[in-house]
Amino acid sequence: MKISIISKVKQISHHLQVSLKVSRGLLWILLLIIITFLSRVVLLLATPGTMYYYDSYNYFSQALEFIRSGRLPSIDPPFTLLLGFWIFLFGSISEPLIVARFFSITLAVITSIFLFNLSKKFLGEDFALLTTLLIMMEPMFLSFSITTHNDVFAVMNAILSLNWALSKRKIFYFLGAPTTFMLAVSSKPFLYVVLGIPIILIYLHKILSSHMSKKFKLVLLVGGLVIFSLAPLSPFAQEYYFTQTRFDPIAKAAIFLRPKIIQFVIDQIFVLTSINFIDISFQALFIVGNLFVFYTLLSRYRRKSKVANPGTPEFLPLFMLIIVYLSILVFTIFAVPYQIIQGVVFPILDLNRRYLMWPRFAILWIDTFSLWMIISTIMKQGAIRNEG
Amino acid sequence: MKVSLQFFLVFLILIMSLLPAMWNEAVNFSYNSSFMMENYPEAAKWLVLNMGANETALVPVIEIFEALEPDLKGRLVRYSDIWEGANVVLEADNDLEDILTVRRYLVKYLKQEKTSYIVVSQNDPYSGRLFEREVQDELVLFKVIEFHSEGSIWNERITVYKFASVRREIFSLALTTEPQKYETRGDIDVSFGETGMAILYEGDSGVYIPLFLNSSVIEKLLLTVHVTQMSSQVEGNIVLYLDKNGNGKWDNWDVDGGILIPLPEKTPSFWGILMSQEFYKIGYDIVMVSLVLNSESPQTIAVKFITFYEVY
Repeated sequence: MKISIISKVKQISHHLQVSLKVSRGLLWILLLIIITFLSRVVLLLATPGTMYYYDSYNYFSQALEFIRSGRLPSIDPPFTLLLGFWIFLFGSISEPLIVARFFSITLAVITSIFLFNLSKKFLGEDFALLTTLLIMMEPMFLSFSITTHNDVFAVMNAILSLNWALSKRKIFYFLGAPTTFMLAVSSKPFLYVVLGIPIILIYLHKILSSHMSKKFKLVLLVGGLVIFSLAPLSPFAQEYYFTQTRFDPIAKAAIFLRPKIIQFVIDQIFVLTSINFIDISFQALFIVGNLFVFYTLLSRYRRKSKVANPGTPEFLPLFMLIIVYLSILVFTIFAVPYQIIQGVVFPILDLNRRYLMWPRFAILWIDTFSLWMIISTIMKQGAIRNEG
Repeated sequence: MKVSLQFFLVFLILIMSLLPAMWNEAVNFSYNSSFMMENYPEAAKWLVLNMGANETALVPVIEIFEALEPDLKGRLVRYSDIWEGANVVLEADNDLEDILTVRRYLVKYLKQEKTSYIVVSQNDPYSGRLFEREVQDELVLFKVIEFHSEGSIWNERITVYKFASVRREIFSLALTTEPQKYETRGDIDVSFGETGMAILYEGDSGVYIPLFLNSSVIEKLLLTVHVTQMSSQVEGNIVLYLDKNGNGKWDNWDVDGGILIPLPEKTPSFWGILMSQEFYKIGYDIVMVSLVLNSESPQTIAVKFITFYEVY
């Protein structure tokens, strides 16, 4: 009975592929586009009320202002300008507010395609489908992709930059990846830290392994590192930073990097649902995933008798772990609100849930990887036993 | 990496089992977060319908109002401009002096610019901070309309006030000390102190304070009541007793009558000025004020000031 169901599914899948004349990868992308789009439209219809918080309206209002008077937006110009163009193009279809909300849905759909493409590079199309499916349903990402907020835009650019940095085509990794990285950072400046290390590692390898003269390589490496490390000192970055907090970064870290606050941030990250059992499962899979990441890297290193290089998708799980741990660090220092009473700083154990989508993206990716490894190991053992 | 269909299906089922809980969380979050903004469309619509062509309004987060009602463009003023004008930066540790400085600047601004409406949201830091503490100064507002919705986690309230251009304060009853004369009714315990007149009551009860307010000649009277504490299920009225027969005292409802002002619904404890009310030309003197309360379970309320103003 079980075999006949599986063969039936196999037949349907094969029939679909043949009749649509598409590859398995393209079929999965189509499926992801449909699921991502429909899930958001249904959520929009289920909660048709207003958008969230003040910022959503701020972006929307400035995008409208840009269309009406040509005034350039003051908040996240790339995102707000694109939103303005979108409303300008499709504004006649429905009310501007509804059209604007569909802009975010479209960004989420694009994210799903590139996340699939990125994950495919590591463990193939089937793994990519499943991990993207899970990540697209992350509650905060799902919720914010029906409102005009720049978080979804930043997520899309972050995924694109990782995707293109790992690409084999020069135009993508020398032009596409830095551009999208800058766009992601301009939307969410903390991504400079969170995404910066994976990007630097990838570029170090790309430059070192390319066929260029040694002098040119040196210029690129030194130049790139100088630009990257001096960027936080730019007037733009300084101005932004001091609108966020009065503390210098070291003082802020000294005040907030305490076990109790770190623990609180970690706890918040892993509260994905209101069902405790599921949250604990995510946590357990992530812990096991940490072991799998290092085991996989180590075993590949032993097989190839050389260090696996960061410029290839083999390093993707490690990058995901880096993103999780750096997010915890950055949020602990900068995202926890505080009160000052008689000159004493009291952290308030509260965290804007919007931030949580960042580490959760990487956590869910690691969780799927972990689950994948567990099931494949169990099935391999089962197959060996059957043969025996 | 190609995998067997059997493996793929097992995996898919496991992933699918996680999705409903995540979906549910997204729906709850979307509902609660959009709920917080639910009063804005109503408040924006109200302003469009009620603001005169030359009138302006001070609003929290101007962008929301302009996005919802583009007709309001150019007719709104932002609170952050008031803070900037007063040279005070909104910070986590703004003290009372900062708040008083901004309030003083706001009074000056309101008098000069003739801003018609002051819209306050308790969740907006710029407007909320100005009104979260109990302050007695020149910034006297009276409530025009309130938009209120209570959700599972949010209690959002947007109140539209008008600035009361005060001609003079007629009478202020400071309840931090015991009044010379007062009476109580029912199961009630009254004490006076820092928080004002603290009342613990159960059942049908009340506090009655005789006074004499020569309000018959006043064209436009404003009453403000400052409540410093209020438990969740306080219900009742503030009653102003009139002297219709002109004998200098209140006789009964049939002869003299009075005005009932319902106490508002429960507000968060940090919300200072609980209630302001406007009256136009009462035509009679007021000879007594009371708090008439009713609850099946023990409740507390503390009132610090009851003030009457003559306004322009």
